[in-house]
Amino acid sequence: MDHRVKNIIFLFLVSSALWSAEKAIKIEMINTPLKEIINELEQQSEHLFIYNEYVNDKTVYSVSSENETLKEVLEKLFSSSTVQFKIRSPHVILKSINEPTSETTIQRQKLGTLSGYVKDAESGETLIGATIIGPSGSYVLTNNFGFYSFEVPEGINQFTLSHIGYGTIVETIKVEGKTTHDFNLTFKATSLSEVEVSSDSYKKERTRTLQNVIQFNRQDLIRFPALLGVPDINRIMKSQAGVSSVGEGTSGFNVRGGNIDQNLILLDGAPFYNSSHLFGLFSIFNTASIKDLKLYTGGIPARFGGRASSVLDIRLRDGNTQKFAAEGSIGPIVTHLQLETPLVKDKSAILISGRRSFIDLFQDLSNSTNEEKVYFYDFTAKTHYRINPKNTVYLSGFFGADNLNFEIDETKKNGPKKEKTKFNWNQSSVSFKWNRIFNGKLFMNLSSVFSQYDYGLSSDSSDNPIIDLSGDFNWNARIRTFETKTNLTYNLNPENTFKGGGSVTKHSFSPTKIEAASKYSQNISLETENAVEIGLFGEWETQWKRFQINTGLRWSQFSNIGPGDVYQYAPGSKSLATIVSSKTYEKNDVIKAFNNFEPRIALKYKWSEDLALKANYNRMYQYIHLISNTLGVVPYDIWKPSGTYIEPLKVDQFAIGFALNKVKDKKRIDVGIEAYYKSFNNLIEYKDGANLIANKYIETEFIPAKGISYGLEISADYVLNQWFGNFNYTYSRSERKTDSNLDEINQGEYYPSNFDRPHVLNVNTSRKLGSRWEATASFTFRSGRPITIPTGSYDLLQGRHFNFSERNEYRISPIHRLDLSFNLYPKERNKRWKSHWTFGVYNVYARKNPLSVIPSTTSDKRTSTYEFSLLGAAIPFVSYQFKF
Amino acid sequence: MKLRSLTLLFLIIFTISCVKEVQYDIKPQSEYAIFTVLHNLTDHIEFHISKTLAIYENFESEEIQDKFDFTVRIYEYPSGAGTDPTSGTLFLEAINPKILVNNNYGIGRFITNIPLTRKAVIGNGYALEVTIGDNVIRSAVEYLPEPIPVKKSSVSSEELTFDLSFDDPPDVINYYSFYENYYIKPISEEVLIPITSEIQFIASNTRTDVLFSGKTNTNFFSELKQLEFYYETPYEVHVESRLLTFEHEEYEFLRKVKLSSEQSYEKVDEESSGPFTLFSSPPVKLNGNLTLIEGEGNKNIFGFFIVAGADSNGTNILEIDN
Repeated sequence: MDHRVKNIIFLFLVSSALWSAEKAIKIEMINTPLKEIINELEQQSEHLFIYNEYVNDKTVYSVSSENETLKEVLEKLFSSSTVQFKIRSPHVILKSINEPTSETTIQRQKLGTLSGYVKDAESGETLIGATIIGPSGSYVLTNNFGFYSFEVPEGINQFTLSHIGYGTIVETIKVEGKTTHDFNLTFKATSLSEVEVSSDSYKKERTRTLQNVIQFNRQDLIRFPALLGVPDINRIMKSQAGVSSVGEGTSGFNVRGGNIDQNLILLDGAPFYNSSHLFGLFSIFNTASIKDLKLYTGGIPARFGGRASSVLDIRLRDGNTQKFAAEGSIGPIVTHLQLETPLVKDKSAILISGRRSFIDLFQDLSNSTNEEKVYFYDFTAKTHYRINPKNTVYLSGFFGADNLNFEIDETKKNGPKKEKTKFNWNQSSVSFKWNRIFNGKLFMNLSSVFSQYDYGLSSDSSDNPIIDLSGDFNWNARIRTFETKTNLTYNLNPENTFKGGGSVTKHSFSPTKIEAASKYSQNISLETENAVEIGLFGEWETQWKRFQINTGLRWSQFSNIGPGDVYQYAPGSKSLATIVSSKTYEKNDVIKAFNNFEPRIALKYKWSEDLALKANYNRMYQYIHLISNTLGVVPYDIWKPSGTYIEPLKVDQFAIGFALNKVKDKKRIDVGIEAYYKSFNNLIEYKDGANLIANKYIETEFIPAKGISYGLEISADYVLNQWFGNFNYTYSRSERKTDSNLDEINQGEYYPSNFDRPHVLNVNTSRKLGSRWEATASFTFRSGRPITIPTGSYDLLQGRHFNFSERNEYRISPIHRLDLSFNLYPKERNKRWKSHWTFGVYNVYARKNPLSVIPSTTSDKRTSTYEFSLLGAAIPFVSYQFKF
Repeated sequence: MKLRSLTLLFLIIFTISCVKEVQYDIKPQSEYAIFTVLHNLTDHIEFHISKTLAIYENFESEEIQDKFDFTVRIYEYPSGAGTDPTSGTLFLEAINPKILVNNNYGIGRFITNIPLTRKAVIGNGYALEVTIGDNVIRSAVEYLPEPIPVKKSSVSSEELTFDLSFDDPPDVINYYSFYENYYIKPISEEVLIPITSEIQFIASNTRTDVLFSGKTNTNFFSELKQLEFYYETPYEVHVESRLLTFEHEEYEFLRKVKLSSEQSYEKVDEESSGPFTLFSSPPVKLNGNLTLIEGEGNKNIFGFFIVAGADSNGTNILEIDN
């Protein structure tokens, strides 16, 4: 193992040992009611005690301690009583042995079901992942719609609720049969106290989750230092363990060695094909309208399918059902405004959010012509209506677009020559969801989503003083997805949950339609490719003693359907020269179909209250593929469905690790260490110099390939008094290998992928500075990515050419960068108006982080090679956020 | 390329990019690059040979020689003779041919014109052999394909274009190169003096027949090269539009030559070239049908021996302001 990895593990072990020393408790209470003793212990230990009437009877207790831990004090206190205790920081659960056991309860006492929603008390927004601890210490979490279902003995029960950023509450509820009750949690929200709450948000409690999941709420998202003051999900994702990319400013991200098209990006369930504005500089998602975001990197549940490496599940806020609210921000590049209002109080609300860049204003100031405009914008809207406690419907939509209009005037350079070029792409989605609660235990979500990605490119040289022969054209392409899916969740009891459902997805890919706009250009239209994908899944999540298991199976069926022409090739390497015939398929004819089973299992063994061991395995199939061999993804890259010449991508992943969660006083550390191994089959690689643009015979450019990736991820979230943040280090490798005797890259040996960065370190830390300031520093270090460099030069035909090393044989210089961000919370004169300023510097010490190498023929006597940095300077930013 | 231009313009505006020169600890291997074209219309072959040189300062390149000794041979094979390179008869032999251009870019390129005693024959096979010291490089046997006839060609002096029409045979996939040769014709003489290197233009407009789809009287348009002409006596400029027909491998090689050219920048700065690399594809290696059969070094040689069918419809006068 790399010595650096060892050092980091050692540091964590030392820190864990230090955390295990608990605070000493001093107490002397003789013949005192238990409730009073508990109150004292709660104050000193900062733990919350959970108990019921079986514990809190009229018995009096005595306890005396000078300098002992909470555990030792509790052992003394209950040494001769019928009460047992369990410390589950930050809670202590007390239970009387006189309390009926679950078996006896079933015999003696009827079980009832408590179900409902957990909401934000101020806005009525439902809360995802809130924890509800029941009377026996068992707990459930709210689902993606804030719904919970809890089976408990009928009668009066005490429930403790907590959620990231919210205060903990204890409520006593009388449960009879099927009882519904909505809990309301209060957000700790007054300017800087918001920061205090945010520190809480780092308690992700890896010991609690089964899967490898990285979760953020809105408060987490806005704290990260942002390029030009625009919070960016893609950039935040790239700072997480196991997530990599080819470089700064590139679109998409790579999870555990997977290509960027292997990430299923969902916004309210609708898939997105391009998640960036301006070629990758900014995320397409507006963080202001996001309620919750989860990135699954391993142990992916069976309910997700269609992509092979990760799931980024983004949920939009539902809107404020209590009162009108607005918020916005003003920055140098982007301004946004969000409005939300109840339509029917407590039942219905609407949220509308929009962002627009104002780059074009600067263009106007710089004397650009009216034709020259570069801007992007996006709109998000969502509404919901709670028909009754059992039925709620949601409708959300997104539209984001980039427009780049240029006028190129080369008159001075090459004689009279003008050309107008328009380049635009947009992503839109609509999601409709219907939630139905059948009997307090069965929750159904039925949804239909539509997603569309369009791009267009046009060239107009009609204003040229002389005729332009480059050929005017209009180029359009489109990807469309319709999907209907049902998810059923049956909460049998807190220990057993069953999920099942299915989905039907219609994919439509129109890769290229080029209409000639002059006699010098030609029409090119590639056939629209259609496919239908069906998925059925079942999941069972259970707890048994110290074990927790989520196991599931997904069956996926994918049919590439007509109309379409499929070319037949002679045996050997495919090329235009080896086409022997073509076969025509009519509409809805099945060109090629695939059926596959995808087993998933995630295990957790709770070693102690603080420590959990985890292991998971998942097999994923992916049937749609991004066809791109460029370093960064560009909007005009095409997607293709699996079919005659593209096998479905199959990825198997194994992971094992442990999670440690330590809490003491105002200190918390949550550590996760995980090792993984992934194998990739049926990857697509490309022949040397492959032509992927508007190519009717694109399969002739493919080389079948396989790959492996493996790594060790260490991550920690921490709160140390005024300091809070997270840290992660990943050692990983990602390699590819062509799987063909006819066309090989690097003689058919394994070679590193473009985004193989063995060492990645990210540190994010925040601190409150007095009552009005908060500072955040973010540091990242990444090994240089593999590159293919020129090793010599020669002259042939049209000039100088280079002979190159083996593919990705060398590495570019490492990347490291420090970003700083400061939040200033002005004194609030108006209770309702809340605002803060954000200042910062991106790339503080102006590191020129290289993205690529450029061979050059600058000199007459020798050639040169340069490293290119996209963001090679310190970039200050300021923005103003407000809400009321 | 328009897409690249757009990308460039955007990134100029919105990024704070930069470039810095880097050195890698790489010792270059000395290799040769060879390119030549043989077709049925030509009475000579234009032979290009280049030697790879170091590009990093930490290793000195070998001294660039003014000349070096090499022998060029072409063997001929009757139609249907197969691919055994040892069965051919000598078609051309040139020992240490006279160098016309050398050291063009300071990296050791040599160009020579070697006259042919007779023209190549359609249907026959040809193989190139080059001997440089102890190294022997040989091509595969390439058969000269039937050329596609040019039906009409014209030049527009106003639009500075040339076009030619031809019938694209249906049910056959062909690969073409469209280009123009320039000649000076002194007014008082009947002789056409070639003034451009044909081989330099061959890669400029290569196409598969996918766009022509087996149509008759299909046309190809292209811009004329913007050349400057200097001749002391009154003259006409004649342009001959040629249509070369060759095989898939030749087409792929010429396409990669263009790609390779785009992967090297004449001027490197953050505005002109850096942003392009965001969207660059993996580097192209220009290996073709030439193999090192004797000697030390990489067996795959850069370059190609192209054997093509050629046709033209005579020359057209380009009206220029003398």
